[in-house]
Amino acid sequence: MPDIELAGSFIIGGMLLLSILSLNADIMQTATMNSLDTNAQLNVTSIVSIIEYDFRKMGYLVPSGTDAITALSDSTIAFLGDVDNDGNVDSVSYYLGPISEPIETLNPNDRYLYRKVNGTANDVALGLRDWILTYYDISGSVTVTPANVRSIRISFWVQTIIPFDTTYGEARWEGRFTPKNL
Amino acid sequence: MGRAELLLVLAALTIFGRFSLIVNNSLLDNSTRVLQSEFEITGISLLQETISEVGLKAFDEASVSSVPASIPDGFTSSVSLGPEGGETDSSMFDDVDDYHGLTTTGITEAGMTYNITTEVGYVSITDLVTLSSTLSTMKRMNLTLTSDYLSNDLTLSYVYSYIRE
Repeated sequence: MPDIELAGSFIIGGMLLLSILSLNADIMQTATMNSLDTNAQLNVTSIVSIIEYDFRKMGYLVPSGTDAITALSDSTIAFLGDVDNDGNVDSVSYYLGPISEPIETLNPNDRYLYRKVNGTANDVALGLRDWILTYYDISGSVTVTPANVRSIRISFWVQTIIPFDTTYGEARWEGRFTPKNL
Repeated sequence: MGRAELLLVLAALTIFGRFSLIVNNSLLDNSTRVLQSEFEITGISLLQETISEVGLKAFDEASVSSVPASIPDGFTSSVSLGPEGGETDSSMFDDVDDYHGLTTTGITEAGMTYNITTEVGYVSITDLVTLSSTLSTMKRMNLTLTSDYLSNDLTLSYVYSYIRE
């Protein structure tokens, strides 16, 4: 029966074609998601190198008796330290911008991370989804008293500004800084 | 459809199925490596935070509050490295070698469980890698992070030297 054979060939050929298309779509999706995740990881390493540069100098050249940390919360910190090694103590702060600020991105939850030095604020990163600061005293207990802070744990979550379909590339990081001059 | 054509179709499906499995396996490998690189970045940070924390401690128990009368003979012997009596928690450690033998476990915000083991020993200026039983003014700390989420262990080392205050 030639008709049945033809129909069978169409069915088998069609299934094979669909499988190939599906496989191709999987390859494209995985490659794109990996690329977005890698992009987010690059953003993470850039942010870490910036905050490492400043946080390690926290309290450097600050006169004895003056608190190096001038303000703190679970998402913002302001501190003193000679971050540019020019012999003068600088005032540095880190904080997140509002969610509504990056209107040009497709991600509705991303934010700018701001670094303010001596009153001049610059955005150092875009794509921050979450940014949490926790402060510890000399015994390792959580503290909110600036004078008692000896180490600071930072954890943040970065997402890409564009999604693939509805999924954003993302990366998380956490680490604790123990500045020598605190 | 004759038997020959049927066999050809089956062979083609088998080859395609095998090809599909290989491609899926490689996609999974790629995704795993991307995730592992994220965990490695965090893992290195976890080790670095221990190194910076230990850097604030005294070089040796003998130098916690005073300068030893004899350097390096006044330092803790290599067989006694580790926390002193009463130092039951890392927050109570006051010198570098208290961390010798310390094992910490934890879980990151991203859900990576990890285990960090610490080894501290004396090294000499001529060999900063091999731990030695000979007392010196330098101690090396080897940190190893293991995790089921990483294909390889992460290791980081740091040499602390005694600075007379």
